[in-house]
Amino acid sequence: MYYYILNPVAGKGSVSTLQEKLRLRLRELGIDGEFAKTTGPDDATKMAKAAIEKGHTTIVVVGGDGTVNEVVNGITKENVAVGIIPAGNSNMLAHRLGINTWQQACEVLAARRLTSYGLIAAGQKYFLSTLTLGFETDLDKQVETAPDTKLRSRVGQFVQGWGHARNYDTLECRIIIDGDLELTAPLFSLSITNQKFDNPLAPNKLLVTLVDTPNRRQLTSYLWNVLKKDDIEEGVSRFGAKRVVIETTPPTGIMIDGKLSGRTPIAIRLTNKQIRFITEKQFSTFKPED
Amino acid sequence: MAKKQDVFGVSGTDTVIGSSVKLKGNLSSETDITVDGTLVGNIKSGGHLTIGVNAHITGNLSATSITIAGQVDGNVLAVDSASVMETGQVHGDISCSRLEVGMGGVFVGMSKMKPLKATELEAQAGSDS
Repeated sequence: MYYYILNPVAGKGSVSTLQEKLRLRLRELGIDGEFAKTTGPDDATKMAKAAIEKGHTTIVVVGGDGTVNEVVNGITKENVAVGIIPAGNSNMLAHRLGINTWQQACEVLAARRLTSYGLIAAGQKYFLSTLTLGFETDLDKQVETAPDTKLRSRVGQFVQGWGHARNYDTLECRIIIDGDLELTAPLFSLSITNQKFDNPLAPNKLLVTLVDTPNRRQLTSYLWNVLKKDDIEEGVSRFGAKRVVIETTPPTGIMIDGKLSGRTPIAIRLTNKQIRFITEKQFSTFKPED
Repeated sequence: MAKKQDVFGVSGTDTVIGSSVKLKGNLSSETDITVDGTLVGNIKSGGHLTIGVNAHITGNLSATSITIAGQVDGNVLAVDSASVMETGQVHGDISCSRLEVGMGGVFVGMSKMKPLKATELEAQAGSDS
């Protein structure tokens, strides 16, 4: 039976209004199940663990990236499948699995196509999709960067972001890559993701992306892309790795899948632990690089 | 931030090292590598290796094919072609099947050319015609 974990405050409370329509649709598709609501931070982790102990093998998150990340940290068995119904402010994980709306998510859940993704360990925490630090993380703290299709909101975000960028001091970073390659660089922004989330055909591997301090023209393009949650191409360094240790001067906050989760220095590595996601398309099974 | 889908291959993402980055150690990848920063160490690529105009490499390079527009202090080994561009400087030996040095390019060292096999010559002739 499916176990649905709802975050009632996700998407500024939109989950609550969605709930009845959602249950009706799930019932129509024959995948109705047990519903439970989170009540506070890290609740979804405990709920996922408890559900697995009760014998559930399918856990579905109704929420955003933060709730998915909490659930991922509670998955203790490899036979468990995780589904996502995107309903948060940030739904990048769902988008990367090919899921864009709750209606589509229901169809995807019913079809139950599974793809395995390697988990990344950042200190004591696990994550799947994206770790960021530097300006982008700082911006997320200062400005509501959730994708918004309204032009006025987008322009407002952009103006706030531009003002923030003008006062932002570039970090100095040192990264030890796979134990023997040392990288030093001025750092405006850094992100780490599992490259398989961008390209399901590629092997699980850390994809590290550094953004150099942009000039005014590059900053315009950069900000626009960050606010659209889109790709950044200019002034970028990018490489693959199995593990990295990141130090910055001064130490700075780290954001994991949209949630502040510690500070530098931090060790990050691709693990052999895998999570089976219910995805829009089915891709290859887990092939650890190690 | 993600990289655009159309530059992905099944073996993974290309490596790009920007001009402000300094590396110490050996850099290797099965995919293409572009370096425009400073590196002390060796570089090994299973694809094409590009040494950008701002790059300064102190170490040996090996790849299927190599384009050099920056400075290299070390030996260069290309399975296929090696090109030293107009802004390129190589202080070291170059081993490859095909070598090109652009006008203004600097090459101080020995070249070791591997003769092309008959099948490779035919293929080359076919592509030239």
